[in-house]
Amino acid sequence: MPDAVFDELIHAPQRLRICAIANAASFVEFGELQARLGVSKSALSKHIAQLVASGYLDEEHVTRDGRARLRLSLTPKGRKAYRGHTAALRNIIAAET
Amino acid sequence: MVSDMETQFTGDPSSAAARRMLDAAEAAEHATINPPLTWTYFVIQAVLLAVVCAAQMLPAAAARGVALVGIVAVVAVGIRWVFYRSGYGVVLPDGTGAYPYLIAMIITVGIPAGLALGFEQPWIWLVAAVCAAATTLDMGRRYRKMTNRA
Repeated sequence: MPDAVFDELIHAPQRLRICAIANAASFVEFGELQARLGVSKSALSKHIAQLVASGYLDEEHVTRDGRARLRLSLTPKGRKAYRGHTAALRNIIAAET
Repeated sequence: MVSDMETQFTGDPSSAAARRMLDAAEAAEHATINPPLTWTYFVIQAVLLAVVCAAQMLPAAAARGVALVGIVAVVAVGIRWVFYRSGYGVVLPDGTGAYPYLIAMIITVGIPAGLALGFEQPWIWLVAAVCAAATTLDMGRRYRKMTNRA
């Protein structure tokens, strides 16, 4: 069980969804994330930059089918923070029920 | 796009807000490990499993060969469409989601298969083949309904 730690950076709705999607896969591509979240490139880039700066996300530039792709994956620190944050949310819910 | 951006959150959320956020996170994870799948996927899997079952009426060596190739094909199709699809790396399997299907397959295919082997009645493998295909297609119907793509 992860330590329940409320993470203010992850708590923002789109960043929480980014972490949730990345948590379920070894990596997710930028274009797929944009389609899933329905946000602009610039908005998604800013969210990703914040998560990368905090050491929660890793970026990897690759070429697939002749096109440049950006792969994003949760770092061990990011995975721990995401799981800790969802545990904290569960604690908040449990405390008030 | 101001609406896309979010400022840093400060302070603990209410229980209702925490529930909404947790639901959103779980939905995002669920949608990642349970991708949209077309009917083509389930029809291919149903046909492959039915062929593997029906092939057990063939001589032993041929039956083993078809079973091996068929099972490899079933796994390969599953990996390509679900666990290693375009846009993602390796996706976690939904163990709890697959559990009812595995139980149904053990019952609907395992029993006819056991009878076919126990009573040495190869024609019963045809029943197993029909059950395998029907179970897989029914799973497809339920899966697509669950993912709102019926």
